[in-house]
Amino acid sequence: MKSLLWKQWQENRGYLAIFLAWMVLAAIYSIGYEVGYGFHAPVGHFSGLSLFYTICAAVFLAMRAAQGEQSAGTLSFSASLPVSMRRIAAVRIGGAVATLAIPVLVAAAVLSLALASGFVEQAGPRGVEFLPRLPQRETASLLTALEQLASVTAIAIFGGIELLLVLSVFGCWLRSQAQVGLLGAVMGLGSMIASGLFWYGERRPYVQLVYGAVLPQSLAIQWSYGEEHGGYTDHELAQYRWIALGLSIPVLLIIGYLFVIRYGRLKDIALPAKPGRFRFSTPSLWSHIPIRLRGRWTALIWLELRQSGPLVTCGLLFALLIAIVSVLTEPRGNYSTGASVLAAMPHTISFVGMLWATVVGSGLYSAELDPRLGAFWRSRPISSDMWFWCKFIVGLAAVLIVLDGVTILASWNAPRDSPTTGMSWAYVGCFPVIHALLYALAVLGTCWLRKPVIGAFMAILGFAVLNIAITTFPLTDHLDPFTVYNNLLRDERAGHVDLTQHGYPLVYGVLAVSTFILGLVSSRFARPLERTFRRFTLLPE
Amino acid sequence: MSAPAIRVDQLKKSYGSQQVLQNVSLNIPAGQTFALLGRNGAGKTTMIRILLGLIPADSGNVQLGGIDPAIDPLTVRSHVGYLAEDQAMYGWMTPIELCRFLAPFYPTWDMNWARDYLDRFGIPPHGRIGRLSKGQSVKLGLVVALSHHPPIVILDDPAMGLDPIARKEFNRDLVEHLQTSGCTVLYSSHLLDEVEAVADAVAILDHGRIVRTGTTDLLRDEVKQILLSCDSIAGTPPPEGLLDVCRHEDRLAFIIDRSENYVGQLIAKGIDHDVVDLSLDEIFEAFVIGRTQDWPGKPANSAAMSP
Amino acid sequence: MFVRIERGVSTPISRQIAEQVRAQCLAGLIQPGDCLPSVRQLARELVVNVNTIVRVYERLAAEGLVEMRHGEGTFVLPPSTTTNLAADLKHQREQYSREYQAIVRRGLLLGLAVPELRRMLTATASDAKTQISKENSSEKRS
Repeated sequence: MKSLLWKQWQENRGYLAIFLAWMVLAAIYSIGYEVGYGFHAPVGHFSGLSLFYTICAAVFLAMRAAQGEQSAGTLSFSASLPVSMRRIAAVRIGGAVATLAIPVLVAAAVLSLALASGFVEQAGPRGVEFLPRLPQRETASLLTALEQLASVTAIAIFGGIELLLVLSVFGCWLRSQAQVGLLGAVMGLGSMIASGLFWYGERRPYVQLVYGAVLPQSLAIQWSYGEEHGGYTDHELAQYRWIALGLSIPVLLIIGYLFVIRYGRLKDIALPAKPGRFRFSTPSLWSHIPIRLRGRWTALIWLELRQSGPLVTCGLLFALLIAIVSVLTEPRGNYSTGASVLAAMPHTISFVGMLWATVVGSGLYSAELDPRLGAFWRSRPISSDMWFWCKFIVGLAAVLIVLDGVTILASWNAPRDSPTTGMSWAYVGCFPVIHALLYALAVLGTCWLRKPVIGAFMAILGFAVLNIAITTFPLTDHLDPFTVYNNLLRDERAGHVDLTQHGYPLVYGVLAVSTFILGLVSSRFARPLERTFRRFTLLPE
Repeated sequence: MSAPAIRVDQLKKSYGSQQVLQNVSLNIPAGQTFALLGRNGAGKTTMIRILLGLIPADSGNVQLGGIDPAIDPLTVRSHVGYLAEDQAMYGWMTPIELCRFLAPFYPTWDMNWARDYLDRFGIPPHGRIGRLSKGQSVKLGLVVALSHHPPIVILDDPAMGLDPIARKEFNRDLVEHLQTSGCTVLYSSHLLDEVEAVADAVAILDHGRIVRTGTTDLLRDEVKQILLSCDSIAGTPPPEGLLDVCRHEDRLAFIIDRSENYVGQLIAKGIDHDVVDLSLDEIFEAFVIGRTQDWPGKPANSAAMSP
Repeated sequence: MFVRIERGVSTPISRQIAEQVRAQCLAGLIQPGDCLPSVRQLARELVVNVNTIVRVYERLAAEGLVEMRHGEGTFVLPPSTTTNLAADLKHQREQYSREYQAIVRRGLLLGLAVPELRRMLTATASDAKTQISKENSSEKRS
C-alpha cells in the first residue's frame, strides 16, 4: 500500500506543481485585478477562474486515471502485481482527486488571507432581487465574505470531482486518452450549460437543493458584466448549498466506487485486445466508388477532407444540439422553434467553434505525428511542406466553411433581437478569425508537444492567457478581441456597420497574421521521427 | 559487377552524447538480398531512416541508385519500396483507398498488380485497415511498398510480430516476388535461421559499428570454432580475428574469424585440434557478445614455478 | 522430389539440399530424364534464397548428376561412370559407419569414458589429417 501511494505521488507531483502554480496565479490575478479596478468582486472572479480550472484539471486527471495505464502499456503489468486491481484503482482515483482539490484549497487560502487583511473587499451577497447591482451594494462583513469564498471553493471542488469521477468511469470503456479528452471537453461544456439550465436560485430552493446534490456545479452561478473599463463577475449561490453539498458526498462516493469496480475489471479485457469491440462498423461506401485521384494535390486534399470532414460535421451537429437544447429550455419568444434555433446558432457556434477548432487542429495532426503512422507517410515521396500546408489549409477551410460558413448562411435571416441572438457583420468579421487563430494554436501545440490533448489544451490556455494579459491593463483593455467584437456589434445593432472602428483592423489584422506565423512555426516542428522537444518524443529505437 | 545499388560511406549519427552510428560503410550490389543483423538498439532503424532521408546524418555519404537521400529525398523515396518496423497505416481507410491515394505519388504505380496481390494475400479490399490482423497489415504494407515496382526495397524488421506460419509465408513472398524480379533488398531481422536461408549477404551491426559483412556462405566458411588443449597454445599471443574464448578445464574452445590462416599455422606446428562448423546464430553471437579474456596468457605450470 | 531443411544447424543449407537431391538420384527416386523443379519453384517451396538453389544445381551439374538445359530446366542424367563411383562411395561410407559404431561400442564396454574416446578420436584424426596432407603435398611434388 505504501509503495502504491509512493508511485502515485511520483506520477502526480508534476501535475500537482503545475496546477498549484496555476491556481495560486489565478488567486493573485483576481486579487491584482480587484486592486486595479476596485469592483469589490474578488470572490466572483475567483469562482469563475476556479470553474475553468476544475473543468480542465478534471479532464486531464480523468484521462490519466482511466487511460494512463493503457496508453503507457503498463496495465497488464499492474494486473499481474500481487495487489488487487481495485486497490490500485482506488489509489489512482484518490490521487487524482487530491491533485484536483489541493490547488483550489491553497488558492482559496491565499485569497482569504487577502480578504482577512483587508487588502481587498467583497461586496455583499446577491439578494433575491437582482437589484441593486454589485457596484451599488455595500461591502460585506469579513465573515460573510469568507463564507462566500468557502462556498464557492467547495462547490468548485465538488463539481470538479464529480466531473473527474464520471469521466473516469466512462473513460474505462474508451480506447485512448484523446477520446477521454474529447469527451471531457464536451462534458465540461455540457456541465457549464447544465448548471445554467438548472439554476432556479431563490425561486425554488428545494428543487435547487436536489439538483445541487446530483450536480454540485449547479449550486453557484456566475454572471459577468462589462463596464466602461474592465468587467466583473458577480456570483449567486443556492440557499441550501451546504446541505446539498453534504448530500452530494454519497453521490460522489458511489461514482467513485463504480470507477473502482470498473477499473478492477479492466484486466480481463485488457490482455486480448479485441479489435472493434465497442465500434460499430460503418459501411465503407467511399471505397466502392471508383474515384481516380489525378495528381498529388488532389490526392492529398482528398485525404485531408476525408479526415477533417467527419470531425467538423460532428462539431456542427454538437453546436446545433446545444442551440436546440438552450432554445427548448428557455422561455419561447414570438418566433417558431426553428427560427429561434437559427437565431441562437451564431452565439453557440462562436464558443463551440473555439473548442472545435482546437479539436480539429490537434486531431488532424496528432494521428500522423505518431511515430508508427509517421514512419509510413514520411517514407512516401511526399514533401513535408506540401503535406503540412495542404493539411493546414484544408483543415482550416473545413472549420471555417462548415462551422462559420454554414452558420452565417443559415442564420443570416434569423431574428436579431438581443446581443446573443442573430447573425451580424461583426460576427462575420471577428469569429472566423478567432477560430482560425485557435486552430493554428492547436496545430502548433500538437506539432510541438506531439500530444493531441495537451496540444489542444495549450492552445486554449495560450488564448486565455493572451486575453487575460490584454484585459489586465486598462490601457489595452479595449483591444481585447471580444471587446472589439462587442463594440462592433453594439454599433451594428444601433444601425451603423463599420468594420474600421474600435481598432478592428489592428486587432484582427494581428490575429490573422499570427495565424499564418503560427502555421509557419508549426511546419518546422511537424517532422515525425525527428525530435522536437526532448521530454515528449521517443528515443531512437 | 555493376555499381552498388546502395552505398553507405563513413556514416555517423549521434543523439546527444549517445553515438548511434559510428563510421558505418556498406556497399550492396544491385540484385542482392542483404540482411542487416544486430541487437535492439544497434542502430539498424536509424541507419534505414537515414537511407530514406527521414532523418539527417551527422556526417558521411549515402547513395541509393546514385542519388543522395539527404539532397533529393523525394526521388529516393519514389524509387524505394519501404516497409517500416511496426508501421501503421490510416486505420479508417480501406486497402483499395490507400492504393488509390498513393497512386498519384508514384509515376510507376501499377494498380492492377496491387489489386492482384491484395487478392492473392487475402486482404479484403474494402475492409477497414484498422481491422486487419497484424499479418494482413504487414502484407498490405508489402503490397503498398512494392506496387510501384521499385528497384530497391528496404524492409525494417518486417517479420517482427508475425506468427511462425505468417513469417514463413512472408519469407516465401520475399523469395518469390523480389529475388526473382531482380530487386535489391535490404532488410533487418532478428531471426537468423530465416536470414540464413533467404539472404545472399549479411552485415552484423553492433553498437553502431559494422563488425562484419560477407555472404552467408563465406561467413560460415571463414568463421569456425576450434577445439584444442590449453597447453598446446599457452603463451602464444591471441590470434588475429579471435572472437570468443571459452575454457573447459584444460580444453580450449574458441571462435575465430578468417580461420583458415590460423588452422594452417596449427597444422604446421603439428598441434592437435578440431575444427567445428557453426550456425549463423552462433557466429552472430560470437561477434556481438564474444569475450576473449579467457585466452591463456602463460602456461599454467610456468606461472607456478616462477617464484 | 522431397527435400527437408533443418534450420539453425551447423550444416549449411546449400549442402543439405545438395546431399538430399544427390541421395534421391542415387537411390533411383528420381529417374534419369526427370526434370527437377525449377529454381524459382524450389526456392519458393523451401523458402530459400534463389541464388542458393542456383549454386546447388550448378554443383550437381558439375558432378555430372544433372544437366542444366538453358530455357528448359534441369534434368537428371542417366547413371554414368561418375555416378557409379558415387554410389560406390556411398556404399563404402555406410560400411565405414558400421565399423566405427562397433569400435566405439567396444571402447565403452572396455570402460573408457566418452571424453576419453573423444580425446582419442581428436588425436587420431589430427594425426591422420597431417599424414594425409603430407601425402597430398608429396604427391603434388612428385
